[in-house]
Amino acid sequence: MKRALALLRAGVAVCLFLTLAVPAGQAMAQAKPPIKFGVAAAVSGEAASYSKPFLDAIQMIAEDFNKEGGIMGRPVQVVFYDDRGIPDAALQAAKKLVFDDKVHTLQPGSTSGAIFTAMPVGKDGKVAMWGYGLAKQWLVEGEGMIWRSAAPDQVMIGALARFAYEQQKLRNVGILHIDTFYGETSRDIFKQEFEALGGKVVKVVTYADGSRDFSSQLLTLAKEKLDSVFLVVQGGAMAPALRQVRQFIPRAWTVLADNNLYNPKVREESADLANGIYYYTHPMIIQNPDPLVQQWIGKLRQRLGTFHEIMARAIIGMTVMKVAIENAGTTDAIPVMKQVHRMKNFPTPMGKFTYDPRDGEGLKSGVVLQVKAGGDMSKDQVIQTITVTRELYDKRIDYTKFFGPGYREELYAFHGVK
Amino acid sequence: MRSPDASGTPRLRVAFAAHLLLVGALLAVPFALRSEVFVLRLFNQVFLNVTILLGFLVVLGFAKQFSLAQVAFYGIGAYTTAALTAKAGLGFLPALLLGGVLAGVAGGLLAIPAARFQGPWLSLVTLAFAEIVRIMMVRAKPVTGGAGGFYNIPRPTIAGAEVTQEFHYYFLFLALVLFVYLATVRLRYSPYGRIWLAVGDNPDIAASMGVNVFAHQMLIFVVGAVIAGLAGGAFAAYATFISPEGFGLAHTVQFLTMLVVGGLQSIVGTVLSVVFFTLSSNELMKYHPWDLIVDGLIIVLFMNFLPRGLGGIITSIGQRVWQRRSPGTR
Amino acid sequence: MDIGLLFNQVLWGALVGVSYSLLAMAFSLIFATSGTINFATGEFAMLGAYFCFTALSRLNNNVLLAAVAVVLALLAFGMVLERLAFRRLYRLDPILILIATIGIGSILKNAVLVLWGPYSHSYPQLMPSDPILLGPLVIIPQNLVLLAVGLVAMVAFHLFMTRTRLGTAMRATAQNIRGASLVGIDTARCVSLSWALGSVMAGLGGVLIAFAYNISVDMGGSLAIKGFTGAILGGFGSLPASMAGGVLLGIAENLSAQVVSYYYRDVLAFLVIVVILLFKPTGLFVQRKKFRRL
Repeated sequence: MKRALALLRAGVAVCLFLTLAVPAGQAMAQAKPPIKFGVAAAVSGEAASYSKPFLDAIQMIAEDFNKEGGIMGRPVQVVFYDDRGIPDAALQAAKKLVFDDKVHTLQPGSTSGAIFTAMPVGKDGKVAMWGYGLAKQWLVEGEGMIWRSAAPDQVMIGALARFAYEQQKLRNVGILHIDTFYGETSRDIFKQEFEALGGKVVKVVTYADGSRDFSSQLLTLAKEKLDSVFLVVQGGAMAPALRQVRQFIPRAWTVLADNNLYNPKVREESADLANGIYYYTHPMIIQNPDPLVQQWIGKLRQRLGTFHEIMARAIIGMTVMKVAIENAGTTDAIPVMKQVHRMKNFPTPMGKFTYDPRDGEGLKSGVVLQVKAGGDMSKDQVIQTITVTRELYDKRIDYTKFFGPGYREELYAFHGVK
Repeated sequence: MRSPDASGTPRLRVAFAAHLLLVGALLAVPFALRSEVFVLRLFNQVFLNVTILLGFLVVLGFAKQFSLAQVAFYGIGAYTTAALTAKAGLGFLPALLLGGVLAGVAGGLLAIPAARFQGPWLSLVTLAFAEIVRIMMVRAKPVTGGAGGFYNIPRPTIAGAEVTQEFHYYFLFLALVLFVYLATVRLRYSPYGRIWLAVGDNPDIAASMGVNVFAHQMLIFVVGAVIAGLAGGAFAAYATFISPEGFGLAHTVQFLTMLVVGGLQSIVGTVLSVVFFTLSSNELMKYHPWDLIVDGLIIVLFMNFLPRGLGGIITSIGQRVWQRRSPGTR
Repeated sequence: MDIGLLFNQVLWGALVGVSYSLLAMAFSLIFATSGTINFATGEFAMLGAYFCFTALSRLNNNVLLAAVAVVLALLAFGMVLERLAFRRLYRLDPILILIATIGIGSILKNAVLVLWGPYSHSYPQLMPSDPILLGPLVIIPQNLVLLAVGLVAMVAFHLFMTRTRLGTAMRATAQNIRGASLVGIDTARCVSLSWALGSVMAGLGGVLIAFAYNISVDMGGSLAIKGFTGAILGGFGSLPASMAGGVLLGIAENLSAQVVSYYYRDVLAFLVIVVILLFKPTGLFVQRKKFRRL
């Protein structure tokens, strides 16, 4: 008993020592200081279905950067924490990344809600940020310290709504969406765009993140006179949702979906259930003949065994950041973000990245597709491509806090906008 | 642990001196380490967790009311303080106190049906209550912000000073944890404390000795809830963002882990356990989900081999030390 | 009122309810024989669902072979777990045992996360998915088959417990452990077996629900709560009562959307727990003169 106690005390002491000593040790051993890319990603939880491939792609690209000599001669290091798709955890992860690990760039969350929540940490710590989520508010609140490596929902859901009204002649839509920031924003945009055209969103039902049973929600929808349903359903919930839609919707409704249908795992799992469904996504698809797109698809398939549209967001994020840091000659946030603000026609697999200083978006293209053959995404048919040039939001970005008065006018002049 | 008996006066003096030294050191730390934001943040997390765990200790440890509702009271305190400061424009301190009061009221209300049950059945009823509260946090969107969470909780302003950095929060959390700690110690060695321990050990015998068990159970729930509510309010003002996810079963599990490792009846054990877990989980977060596997293993190992936790170890060491010191008394 | 839709709702509710029942039975069995409320039952179900997924993919969708493999794996798992983790705990405070089961659940869940990864998976389609139309009714064959399998399993468990020597020995252990050992029953073995059998029940519940939904690391949590509610609703500690309680809960949950907004469906299970414990703590289907406070 005594020996066990002694051992236990020793064990506790060792653990306490380690918890305090290890971070100190890490701070001391530094050859050439690496450039740290901080990422809050979901490697568990529902969001992992798209956040993990995103992280995998980031790590692959960082490896490639290092093979080519790093950035400004310094090695690239990816530091990440699991935020499980939850804003709380993203906030914690961002604090650790910014204040403990002292990262030079930050991707603050695995979902739009998480990004929105954790972004102030990056602003406090003056770190250059980028986000891959598609819901708009965090971009505007970012005050120029964060940019988006994708086209926003505003563009793509707008395309889907227009397609639904004009081409499919749909008039009464029911929406089933996940009960998160992302789900709510998607619903709001679809409703706004669809109703502006003359259609009507008849009923909205929601489900909690992690839930798999939609029977009550679908029963509620089935009572209405609808000609279509729009599913904003993520990750592992998509296949069960499709199965239950087939079971509980008595009439053959047109099913619209968001870009979770571009997730290879979801498509594999849904198989034939997905046939006939219309969904939107970004231009990095197999059907796009752009050589840059095909080159990247080949590379991802070879290195990561699969290809996911979300990996394109990682590619764009990393390559734009690298170029911005190199052009700025420093990792300080303000000069780096200024380089991002000045980007024009930077080639990416989602089209040319041109920063629009009014709304902060750099990419404004989307596609609408129809699923033809279950799990085989190469057979999806492109129905519509859309590119938007107008300013997307009511509120414009205010750059004064971080970039000074007069900066906005300077940028607008540079880009030739008002 | 410490006994207030006459033969223990030198022990009391040693303990008192030790506490003074500790408080002095804790007051000096933030000035010495002002630039090490990382360290200050760890201290703040430790203080907050100790406060929460002391609430658990009073209810589950001393009185053996195995309530799993503590996180719900933590949440009620957090949302109340958030709503009052952000929407009603109340100052932080009144909002914090009201958060504690509201949580206490909820605790009292829960005690009414819950006090009928014991052991695992109590756990079940309180768990159901906690989950209902959490679901209502999600559903009551206009007040709580729903599943997306409650954003932009204003930073506290205490006596004219704006609390914005970890350095400032340090003093807030230190004050809170000292207050709760002193209250807990005081309670433990007061007649109330003794009654509560008796109610925990064997409520029937306590009742037969004239104790109004139900009234005390209600009081226990209220005290535990107030502690949790105050911690929640402070947390809301610290994180400036709260969401229902932060008040769920997963957190209950983590707190329970700390509680059992500390030892269900030991104040010192609990504090040590919290310090250990807060520091190590910060490090182990890099190896998620292995950190959770380790947590689970720790629970199982402690339950099997050290059911009285760190507190139990300390007690047996302490007994051995004092035995050697005063050979005549045993 | 769309008859076809209503029929499908009830069928679905029964299917999901059978899964709840199986977990309810697992809770009741383990509680009755060992006095432990096993908060890891949901994770047992998850484990069963994952085992079955792997078995089906490795054994080329051979359902029979997969079923045998999964049952054997779960029996072994239950016995090993009881021996390693719980045998020492029976004399402790019930709260400590409860906390230990929570710890086990956490280990299982994260171990599965490490071994299988975070992505969800659906079971392969074992039957053609075209619905059968019978007048206003729309019948999904796979749902019917799953429901039948679940009901047969429940009946089989019930027969085992009432008609076999081993089952009777286990019931004796559950009623009065001292009395049982006095008449020569190996109660330690019965307790161990109840963990094993409970694991199989929970695992089967997990498999059924996985056919209806899919498998994911988080599936255990809500399933356990539903199963537990079903047990309390029917009568905790009694297998037949738990069976009825689970199915009742499943159907009621689904039909509740007709009456209350779907928005509050999750609260239903918890409200049921509170209401039943307050007003009829022995459960709807169990008559007992005095409720034992444990």
